[in-house]
Amino acid sequence: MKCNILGQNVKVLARALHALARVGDDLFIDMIRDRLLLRTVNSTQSAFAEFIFLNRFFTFYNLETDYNDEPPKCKISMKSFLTVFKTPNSMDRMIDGCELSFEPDASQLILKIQFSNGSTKTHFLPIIECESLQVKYKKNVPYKITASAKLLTGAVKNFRVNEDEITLSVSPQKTFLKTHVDTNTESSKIVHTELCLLAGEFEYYNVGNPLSITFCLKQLRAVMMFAESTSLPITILFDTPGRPVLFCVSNEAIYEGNFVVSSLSNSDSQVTSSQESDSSGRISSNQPAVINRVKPALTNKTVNTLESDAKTQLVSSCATSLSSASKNRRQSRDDENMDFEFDCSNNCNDAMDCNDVDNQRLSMNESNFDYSLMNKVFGRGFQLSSRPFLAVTEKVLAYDSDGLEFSD
Amino acid sequence: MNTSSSSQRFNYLFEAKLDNVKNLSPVLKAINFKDNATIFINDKGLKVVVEDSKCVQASAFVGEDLFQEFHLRTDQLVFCLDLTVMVECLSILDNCSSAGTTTALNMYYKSIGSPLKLLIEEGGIITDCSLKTKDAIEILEFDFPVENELNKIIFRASDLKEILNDIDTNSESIEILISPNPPHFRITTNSITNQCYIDIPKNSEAVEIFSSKSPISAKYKYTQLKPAIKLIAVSSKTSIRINEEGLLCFQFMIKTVSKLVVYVEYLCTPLVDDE
Amino acid sequence: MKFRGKIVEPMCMRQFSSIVLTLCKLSKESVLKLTSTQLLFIISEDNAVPRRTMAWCVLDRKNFFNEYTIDGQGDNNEINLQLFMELLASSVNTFKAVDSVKSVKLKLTDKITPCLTLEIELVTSIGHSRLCVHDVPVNVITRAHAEDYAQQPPTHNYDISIEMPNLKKLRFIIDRLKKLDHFVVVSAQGSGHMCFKVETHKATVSTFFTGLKVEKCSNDLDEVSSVRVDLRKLSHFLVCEQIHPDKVTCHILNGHLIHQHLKQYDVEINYYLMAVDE
Repeated sequence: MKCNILGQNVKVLARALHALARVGDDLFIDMIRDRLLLRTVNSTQSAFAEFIFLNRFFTFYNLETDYNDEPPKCKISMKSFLTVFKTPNSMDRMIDGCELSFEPDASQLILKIQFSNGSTKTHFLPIIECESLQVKYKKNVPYKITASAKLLTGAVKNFRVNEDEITLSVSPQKTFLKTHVDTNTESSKIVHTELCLLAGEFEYYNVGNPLSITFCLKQLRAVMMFAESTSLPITILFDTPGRPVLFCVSNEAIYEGNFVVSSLSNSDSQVTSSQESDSSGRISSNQPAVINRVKPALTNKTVNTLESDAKTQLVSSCATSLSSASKNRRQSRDDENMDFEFDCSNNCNDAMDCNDVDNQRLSMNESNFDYSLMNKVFGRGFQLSSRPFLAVTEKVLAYDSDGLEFSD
Repeated sequence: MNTSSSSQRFNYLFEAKLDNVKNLSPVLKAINFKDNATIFINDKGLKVVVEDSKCVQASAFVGEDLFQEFHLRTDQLVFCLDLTVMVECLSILDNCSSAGTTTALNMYYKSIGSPLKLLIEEGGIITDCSLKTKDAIEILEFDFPVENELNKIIFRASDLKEILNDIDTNSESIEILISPNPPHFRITTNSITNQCYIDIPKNSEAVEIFSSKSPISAKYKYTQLKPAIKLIAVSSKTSIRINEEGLLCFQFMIKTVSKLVVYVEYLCTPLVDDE
Repeated sequence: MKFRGKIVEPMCMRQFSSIVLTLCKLSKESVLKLTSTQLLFIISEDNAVPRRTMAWCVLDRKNFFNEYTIDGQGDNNEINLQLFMELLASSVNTFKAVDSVKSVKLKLTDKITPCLTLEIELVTSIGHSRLCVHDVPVNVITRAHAEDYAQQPPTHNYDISIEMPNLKKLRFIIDRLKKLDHFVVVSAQGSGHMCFKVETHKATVSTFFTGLKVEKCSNDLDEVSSVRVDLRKLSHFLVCEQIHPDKVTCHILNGHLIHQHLKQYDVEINYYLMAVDE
């Protein structure tokens, strides 16, 4: 496969990579018919980020594969890519363009940078695995707010640079940003900050019942960095506590970035329950966040039945599936329970490893969601709560490329 | 304060005056990759030599025409001193100048073994530095005859700097190839996460002069080339030559703030391949 | 115990923030003494037994605060708080970063711990007010312990009191000297000379300033009074150039102590640097 990017867009790509590098250490590259996907997940699997570049972004985009062939994909180290795009700010000054290519079964990804003075730089980045990362999340959630990067950066500036988590409290008129107070930290050592933003300051504001949600600031900072440099607004999508928060930046129909971050569930966060109203009561307080396994075949029918509310929404993000775990949910709205799941598809099925985690996960699914076992399995979870929010599901083959469409 | 005129200092072996210290300090800073420096002074000017582990040698040539006054009352002087301290001293009043004024420097060296005195003055603030000197140690003699040079490229430094800006700092070695055939000039870096070719064809705008009689390629340690890459950034032109043994010679033409020219030569021995 | 104060003047907010940012360089902890007329930051020297005051900073409440109410302890009507300067500094830092600050309210609150609460009223792009509240945790010092912070260190019969050279320039010079050694000999003469000298086995570097105003000199004009001090601590003090002081005087007690006295309209900072033996 091969694609070419022009000077100005090289800068965008570089900035996107820098934002992704703030989230994870590995970069998953997927080429699908009309788009390039760059994805990453952090080591604790509490955050996932992706950038989608449509073929319009490129001056040349060719997969060089048959329609029925497995689309090209690979995983490379983020570090590799960063050595290529060290200084995004100056990247368009002397660079004419760059060309990305790799052959099926190749061990290296080739990135060639063309300078305006005639010289070239050819990078050979080792491919770690021919694997892709899939995460299912949905965008039709009850809460959606859009703010300019300037507003958010200005707001976050009021918080300490080493602030880890932040609580977003929304109501129809106002939004509060607050320092998250963890019961474990000594309260005499931290400053508690609270900032109020008015609904009118947002570009879009769809908030029903008041709600507080706590998440990690790190990924938001990564999105803000990208959004500021590209002057794009950031859309924050969220649901009840414990469910992931989604930050989106989109340059309509050319590229978009989606950062998915787990949030603290109600039992973890120190929010005053009087303010919160869990409208549907879908998540009981003692139940950790969504962990589901993806069944190999994802049906597009499921996708279509879900209503989409955003123009540039990726339909695939709504794709869900039933899993054995969801039986344990109280609600019958199974498809909606699927918020955020991982799916690593691998070319070599026989290479699928059966490590301890996998075994334990199997037993977990039979054991009625035993909470302690969950901790054992995903003990590396979200640092704050020491409780996981996301899980890597078993490696499956299927990749529902058809689901990835910008719907109008 | 020591502001007596030079006529009273006839017993000094060396003295020099410079209207603007910034004509000298950036060049010395650029070769300050090791503390110890050997200073040679003759009637042509000043040569400051810094070496690293018997493999690298950088020499800055500062002509006597750079100085407003330059008096040497012997044939030649050679001594060692701590260049890091000297560079700190020379830049001590860097941020004290008001618009339009420059920092003046007077240098004195009384007799063999005495300290090198620097008197730096700016708007009434005077800094008096006395740098201990030591006997010179032997420096490396590299033989790089100009007559039978095989390969030589002169680059526009601003272009080269931009191209080498993002060089992979994790690469242990750097291979340089000069050849009459494409790719003409190639730098290869290699690290676990990235292998990279940087190709500059001879017709590139970055190249001012290209001459190559036969292909030559050699490997160098990245850490030993790092100071040279920094020197590219301060220079306006950079020349690269490699001899038959793989000895690499950079020459940098550096324009000072007063538009005067200072040259720096940077020599580096190749890595011996075990394979 | 009650305290609340409101700053409205942008100049005063910037000044307050500069002072806190300067003082936070000196030490991690500080005592904030609130009285009916003044606001004092008292910083103690690290690891000194018995406690020794390193910095004594006085802010005149009248000029800073448009509103000010205090209901403190004892006859003096005082409140003494111990706080981490870095925490306060991070909160006041935004006065500078966000240029549209309308007002700042300081008050003592009782949250999970006692807090000095800063209510910052910001002006938004659409002209509305936006509130940012910082709760900075503090410890209330009991009356018995407050005794320790009751008195400013006594003034000595100094050998010389001389005007300091331009702090900004001196700060750059001291930062260079810091790379050469850890100590500096500060000396002054009645003739208006001041010298900052570093001596190592590699070099001797002295920077001279002349024509400085001498306020008081107990000795002959040529006699040199000098003190060897920690370069790092001196350089910390020089950060106060960002307050743009009207006048900084250096009092020297030969071989013992440097007392820097900074005066800027409604602020006064006293900084005590003890001599370090060779």
